[in-house]
Amino acid sequence: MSTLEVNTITPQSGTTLTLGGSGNTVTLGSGVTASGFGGITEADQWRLNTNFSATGGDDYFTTNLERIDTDSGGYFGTGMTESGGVFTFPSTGYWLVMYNFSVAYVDNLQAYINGNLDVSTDGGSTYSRGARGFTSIDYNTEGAPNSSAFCTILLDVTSTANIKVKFGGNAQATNATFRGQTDYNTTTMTFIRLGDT
Amino acid sequence: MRPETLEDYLVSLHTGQWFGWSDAKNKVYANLIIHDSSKTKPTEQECIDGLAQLQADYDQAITDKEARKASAKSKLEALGLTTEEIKEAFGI
Repeated sequence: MSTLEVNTITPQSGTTLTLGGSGNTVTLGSGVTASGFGGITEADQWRLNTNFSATGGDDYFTTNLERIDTDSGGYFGTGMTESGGVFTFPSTGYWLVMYNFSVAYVDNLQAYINGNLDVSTDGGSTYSRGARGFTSIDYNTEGAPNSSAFCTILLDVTSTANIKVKFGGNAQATNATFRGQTDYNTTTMTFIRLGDT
Repeated sequence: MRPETLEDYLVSLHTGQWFGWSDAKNKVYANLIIHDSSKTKPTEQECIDGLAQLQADYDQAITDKEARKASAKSKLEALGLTTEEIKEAFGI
């Protein structure tokens, strides 16, 4: 086997460079670091760790949030930073943000409950509704009402200083409880960086 | 869901994120913290009594609900409906 030692390989013409052909295997040597391929470099997941009783209006989680830390839960990359319920991205890029919320225990009521994922493009001064999940529960017919819903948004984070997200919900009635647990996930926020902006 | 924990009682006291835990992995009274200064921290005994009352209320509500079902069923049977017909029509 011969060894080709060059610093750069570029197409002789055009912009396409092909290595091997159909049926071939192209292998990178052990320990090689390859860059420029993109791919997922960041993934992080947070959760509400304490139950939260809705006020009947727009509510936002401002505290009692934690990065998952049980059952081999983890993150890779730099990870999100959170302050007062506002999440900041560690780097620009296309980010998939997913919000799953669990609700329960509406005392003798029928109620709709929304989960809100709000996005700011001005550093957190103002927010608009980025995504909303809907569910409803009926205490009278179900007896032990619980429900979960989900919403998601793909964000082009062009500025980590300006693009922020926060989470919460809106319940038709007070005493609707957003479920928060520290031992397992109930209401969660997941962030995955899919690629460069 | 039957109230079972201190947290179940606390969420019934006030709305909003008025409380949390110094150690969320150990949600006992000693670790209860109050985020909202306009709210008063309940005593441990108030929490114990409050949870017991919630459980009693829940159990009573279930009992009352079952009693209403049984009453409705017996009234329907008295009208001549069969058990199968009642189940099909009313789900009880």
